Amino acid sequence: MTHTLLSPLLLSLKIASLATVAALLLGTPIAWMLARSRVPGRAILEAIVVIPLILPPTVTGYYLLLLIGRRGLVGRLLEDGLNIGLIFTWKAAVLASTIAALPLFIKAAQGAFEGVDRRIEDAGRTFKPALIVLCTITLPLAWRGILAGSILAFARAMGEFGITLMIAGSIPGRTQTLALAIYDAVQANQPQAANAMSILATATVLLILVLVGRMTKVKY
Amino acid sequence: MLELTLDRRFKGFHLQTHLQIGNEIAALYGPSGAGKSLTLLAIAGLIRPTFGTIRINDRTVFDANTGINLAPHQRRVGLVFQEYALFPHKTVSGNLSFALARDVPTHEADCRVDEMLQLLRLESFAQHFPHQLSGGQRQRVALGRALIGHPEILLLDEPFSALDLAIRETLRQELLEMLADYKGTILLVTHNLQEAYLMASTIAIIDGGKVLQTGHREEVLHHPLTRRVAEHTGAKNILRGVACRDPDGTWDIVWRGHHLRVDDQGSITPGEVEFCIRPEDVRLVWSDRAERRHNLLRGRIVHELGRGLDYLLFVSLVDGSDRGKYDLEIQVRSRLYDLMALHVGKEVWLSLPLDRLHLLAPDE
Repeated sequence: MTHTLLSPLLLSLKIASLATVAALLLGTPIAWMLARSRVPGRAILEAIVVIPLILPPTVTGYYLLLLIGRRGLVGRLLEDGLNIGLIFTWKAAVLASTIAALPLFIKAAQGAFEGVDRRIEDAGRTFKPALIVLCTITLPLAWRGILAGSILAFARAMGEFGITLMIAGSIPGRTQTLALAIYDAVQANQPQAANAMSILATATVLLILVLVGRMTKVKY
Repeated sequence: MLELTLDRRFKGFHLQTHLQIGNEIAALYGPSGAGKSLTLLAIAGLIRPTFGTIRINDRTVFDANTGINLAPHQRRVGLVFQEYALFPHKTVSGNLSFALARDVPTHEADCRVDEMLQLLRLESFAQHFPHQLSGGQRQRVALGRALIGHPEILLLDEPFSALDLAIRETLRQELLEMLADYKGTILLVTHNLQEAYLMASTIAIIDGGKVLQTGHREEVLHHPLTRRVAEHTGAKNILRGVACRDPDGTWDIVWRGHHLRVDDQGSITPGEVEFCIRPEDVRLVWSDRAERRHNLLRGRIVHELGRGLDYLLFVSLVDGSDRGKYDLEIQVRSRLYDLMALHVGKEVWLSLPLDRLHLLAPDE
């Protein structure tokens, strides 16, 4: 019993953590671009970014399936060129969670960057090169929003269901995350397992939120 | 020394500034939206002009033709922003040390920060964050941050606008004292003419993205070249007359049937001319001394505005053609107002001193 409970939880935590890191690394530059640059393609980029938020997860998942499946454009390249099988592995689950979490993260981080007073950045630029200003002025001033975006991203990744099911499946011990395991338990008429896992999921997320809340007290 | 020619179009605004100032305090004065702050941003390298050049002490920091465009931190420009733009997450010391170049060794940096804290009289606030400081203290930090790297030119964007009126006077004095040792060029942006006059020796008047007149503060204040400069410097009486030559060869301006003599004969062009006189330059004359005055006119006070220490009188000429409007705006001290027992409806003698009437060239 404990094994069937813990295994999906650990897998969920692993996948959600990796997806959050991926969203942070990918999303921060995009958010910064959306907040600061005035390039013509900005509106289109902004629209593309929010698509996964609006589409039914199954549709997003279906598109990804077509793209990274064994016959898909990216899937074939990865499999033939690098010998990486993506589909129906935990890596696909990370991809699914990243795609789901990215819009939430980007929106939060974009707001954080927009909230940084431009004149403060300008003041910094009269003393130091732009990259140093970004690292020592802009990011420290935007970090609370970026952190909030990361928490949202993590929460969304923990709860990811639809896209994961489409491209990673629900293979116990390999791609069956907590959210999928709960669904399977209900389907298999195992209310005790469903209850236990639901409580576990709720407790985990609450614990993380409290911990993060403590970490983010600021001094200025 | 600063020399610049800038050209850049924005949405609905065309910046075409031209400026040349030496090692002095110069003020860029104009209404909001005139292009003052944009000019400062361009000098600092924070916006890029389409055409033009910027030279600081014979160093070209920007040249559109040759593609020279130094990054802001390479220009040796100190910029004090309007609301100071201090780094909110850094202490006073942190704000100051950020402004030092990376090649300054740590111990020297510490020394210079300490020195600056002393100069700013903020030693006990070194570890405070900007939000824990008063407005005046913030201004001092911003000034110190701009000066600590020894810039060749210091730019001040509306340094007093974020402060209460009551402390502005003190801080203006304080700022001038702190700047007394600074040897470079100082360019101050303000929309307050009095502030420009108090702080600077040279005033450049800017409006609509163009510098209209640059010169010594007295020159700009008392000899506006064009109508727009006259309007911006508060020469409220802008009049229109016809220049005609007297039998003795000098020029007179005929205005509302009166022959007015002017001092600056050289700039007269025959025909219709515009000229101006400041409200405080129009003299009220006691009737028994009237014959001795030049350009004597008779007028009636049609409206008055008491402003506490002085009065604005709106006077219409008494020449039979009462147009229901006023012809001249006059500023008089309250004391004189009482002495002469002035009131609305009273007829008075006015004199327009020869040296206070200025001919205006047409605006471009």
